[in-house]
Amino acid sequence: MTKSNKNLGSPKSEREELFDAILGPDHEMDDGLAEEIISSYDVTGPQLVEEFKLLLKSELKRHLEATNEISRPLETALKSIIAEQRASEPAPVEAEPWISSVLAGDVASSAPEQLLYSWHKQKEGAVSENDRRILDELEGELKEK
Amino acid sequence: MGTPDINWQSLLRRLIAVAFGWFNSRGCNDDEAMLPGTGMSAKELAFKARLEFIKNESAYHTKSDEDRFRLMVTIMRNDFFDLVKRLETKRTVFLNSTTDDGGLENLPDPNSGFATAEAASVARTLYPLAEGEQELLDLIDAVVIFGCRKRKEIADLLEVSTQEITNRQKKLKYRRARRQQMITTKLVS
Repeated sequence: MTKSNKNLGSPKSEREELFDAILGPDHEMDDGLAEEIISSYDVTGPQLVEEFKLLLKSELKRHLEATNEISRPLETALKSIIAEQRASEPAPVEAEPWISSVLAGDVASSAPEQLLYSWHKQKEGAVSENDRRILDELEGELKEK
Repeated sequence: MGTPDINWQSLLRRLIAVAFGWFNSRGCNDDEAMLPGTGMSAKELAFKARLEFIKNESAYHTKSDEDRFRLMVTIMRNDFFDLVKRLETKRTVFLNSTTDDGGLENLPDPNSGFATAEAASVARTLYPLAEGEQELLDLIDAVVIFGCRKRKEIADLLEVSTQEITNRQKKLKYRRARRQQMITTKLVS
């Protein structure tokens, strides 16, 4: 049976019409405003997509168990989400150009500098006081030997 | 029919932002918070609507992304009102007085100038969102006192552009949906 889209929307009450007039209709929700709203809940777009993907997977499984058939619409949606997630992943570093840049002394531009030092939370390359103390002690021990 | 060229992030973000607005105005101030007595959160409501749309997409006659979004919001809205109706039938939980569902307390003074009791109730709910900003109070008054319904009517009354009205509406919509910061009391020992 074909569903009529028009039948989906029941008439709005006076209260809803007043809200629509003051706030704008609910469907007027642009990306920027949506982002501001969900950010206030510490929720991100990728997180929502991931959660919805898990729901789709369980729904596909439930449908398969109930009917012994794969739901094509659900499968198509799941594939579409996976494709979007893959597309948004950073491009993998290719070995050959990376090695060439290292050999050419161009490491700084090809490697994420902050990552090298991030583990000890120093902004710059200098080691922390604690690390310096450990290194000094080790150096001392080696000299003794 | 499949799900061609969907920007999933954008779609889910927008759907859930709409749902946050409805839930927040009923006292659910957290993304996982469930509507009392229903066991449903804003996120679950939005996901359910999206899922229903996927399952029945071939039966819906939508031509554009905006058509699809509008339809999903309608599905979601219907589900939300079903929940609220169920809740109001049971009425086992007392909703706080800042909710969007009106209420009997602080009914308008008959001489307050509001078009109807419903308009007064809506004003009482939305005035706090203006946070004293005159331009936002003017927008609310244009509707609840002067009875304007269309953006153009409001813009003409306030002598500003329709775009300005849209901007003010967005501001109020954000404030209605944003997460309320929990007020915590520090215990001083």
